[in-house]
Amino acid sequence: MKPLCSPLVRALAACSVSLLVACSDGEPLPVEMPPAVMDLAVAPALHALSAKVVFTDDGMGVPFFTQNGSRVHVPSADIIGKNVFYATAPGGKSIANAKPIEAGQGVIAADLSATITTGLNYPDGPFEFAVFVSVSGGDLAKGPQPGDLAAFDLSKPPTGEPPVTGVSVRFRIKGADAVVNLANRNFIRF
Amino acid sequence: MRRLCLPLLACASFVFLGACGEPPPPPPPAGLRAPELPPVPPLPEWPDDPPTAAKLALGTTLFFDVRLSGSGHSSCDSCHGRLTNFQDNLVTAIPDRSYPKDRPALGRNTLTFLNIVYAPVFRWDGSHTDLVDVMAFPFSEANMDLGVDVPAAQVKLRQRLTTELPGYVAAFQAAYGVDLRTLDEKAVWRMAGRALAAFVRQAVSTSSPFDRWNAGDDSAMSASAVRGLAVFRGKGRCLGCHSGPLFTDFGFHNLSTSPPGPNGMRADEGRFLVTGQEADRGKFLTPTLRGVYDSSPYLHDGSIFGLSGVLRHLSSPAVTRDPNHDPAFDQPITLADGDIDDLIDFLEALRGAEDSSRITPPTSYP
Repeated sequence: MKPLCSPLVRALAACSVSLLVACSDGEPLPVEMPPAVMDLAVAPALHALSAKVVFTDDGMGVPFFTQNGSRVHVPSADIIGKNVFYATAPGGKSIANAKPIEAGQGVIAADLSATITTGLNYPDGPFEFAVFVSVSGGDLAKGPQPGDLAAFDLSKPPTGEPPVTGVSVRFRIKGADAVVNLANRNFIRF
Repeated sequence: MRRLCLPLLACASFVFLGACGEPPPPPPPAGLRAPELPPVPPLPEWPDDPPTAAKLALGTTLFFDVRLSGSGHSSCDSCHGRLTNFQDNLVTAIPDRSYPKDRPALGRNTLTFLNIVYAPVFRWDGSHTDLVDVMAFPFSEANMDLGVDVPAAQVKLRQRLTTELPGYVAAFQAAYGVDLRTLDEKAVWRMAGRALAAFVRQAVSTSSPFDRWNAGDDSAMSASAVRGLAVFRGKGRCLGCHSGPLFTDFGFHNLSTSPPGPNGMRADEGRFLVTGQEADRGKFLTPTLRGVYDSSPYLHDGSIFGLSGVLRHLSSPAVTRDPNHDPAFDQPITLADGDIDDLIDFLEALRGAEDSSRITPPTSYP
């Protein structure tokens, strides 16, 4: 883990209850595990999110769409070893403006993948998962910058859920841990 | 923010300009808790160009048609995405012909189309004051890349709409009763702008939780949002610029967001590029706050990721770094962390009730 140095990131870390970040080639690394404070008699069951990012190189590079609809190839070497920043928020909240439930970072491994496993912080309901690969070398506090790879999902949510945010991927907890698998098509190159 | 100390003028700004020279909207409903922040008025009627279903359908088609871009990749929806409050959440947008140039980008952050139909002035530097004109203008920019300038893009757009995509001739005939083939390129340009203007009548943000609270519904806003409104109207002095039904004075202000560098030049001179007036250097349009919660990143260059960063800038000495800064900031704004949190909760309460996913791309194109 990189030092969490910016004020915003320090704030994010402070609000995190637990944080697990893992790369695909290693075991999950507990980075912050303060004792849970909750009333077990009334607390709802809490679950985690397990997210896997797997990029594919088609021989010309790793293809991504850009906002204007064109497709670009990013060399694998530009992605491997780069930081993956993520944060979660309640469903419908903008990750840029909400108090995150968790925030952290991992690294894109040599096989172009990364795994993120959150803490057990999520009761049943919708949540936002924002994740971007910092190709440009920025940090979480600045958000995605030109050249970075950011995931989003504009799928229409089920009736009763808040609208999608456009800057995150919606995941839902329904009595069990959630799993999100992300590939090239889920990312846009800034 | 020249008028920060004159809240009465903020009230007066309710009588803002409607489109097409219409008379000002009726006064706000009586009994509002924050009368200087009335609800969004009904859509303008445009008696000279009344909206119809055919015009809306045509405008929708033009909005989504990538064939109208230079490369065939981009459409209006690329930057003004209907599913993201008619903006793109990018630092700056990526132009139509983006590659092989690496990391290309347009110069400024994409402003939302939300409630643009009510605006009297457009774009960060106020370069346009006519809705029809500004709707067509991106065809001449890198955004859509139909030509290197307006005249070139006008010729190309006419060619596309009358010859290369001849189905549009019938579509314009049905919507406006005109034969595009009999019009010159400037007239065709205006027709396209009119149709797109008809489309953006759907890009509205009204009936927010704040509007319901303002009308008397105590349950519509959280306690923190109510506190945020108090800061907004009080020590935050936000009303000086963000007043009226759209939470903007449609004015231009220098908040030191593009201060001079060591050579004395600003990265973006803003309003000065339009007026040539020295006093306008570094000034940019006050953006609407309706929908602002969802339109990160912020400022004309997308340089600040979250609203907390914007608010910290406005309440820090950095806001006076530009020698041409708005003098209203010579008296510092002091915001505690709790104030900023409350203000953000209030700004979240300005999300409109409209679901833009109701707007769907055409299933076929002319």
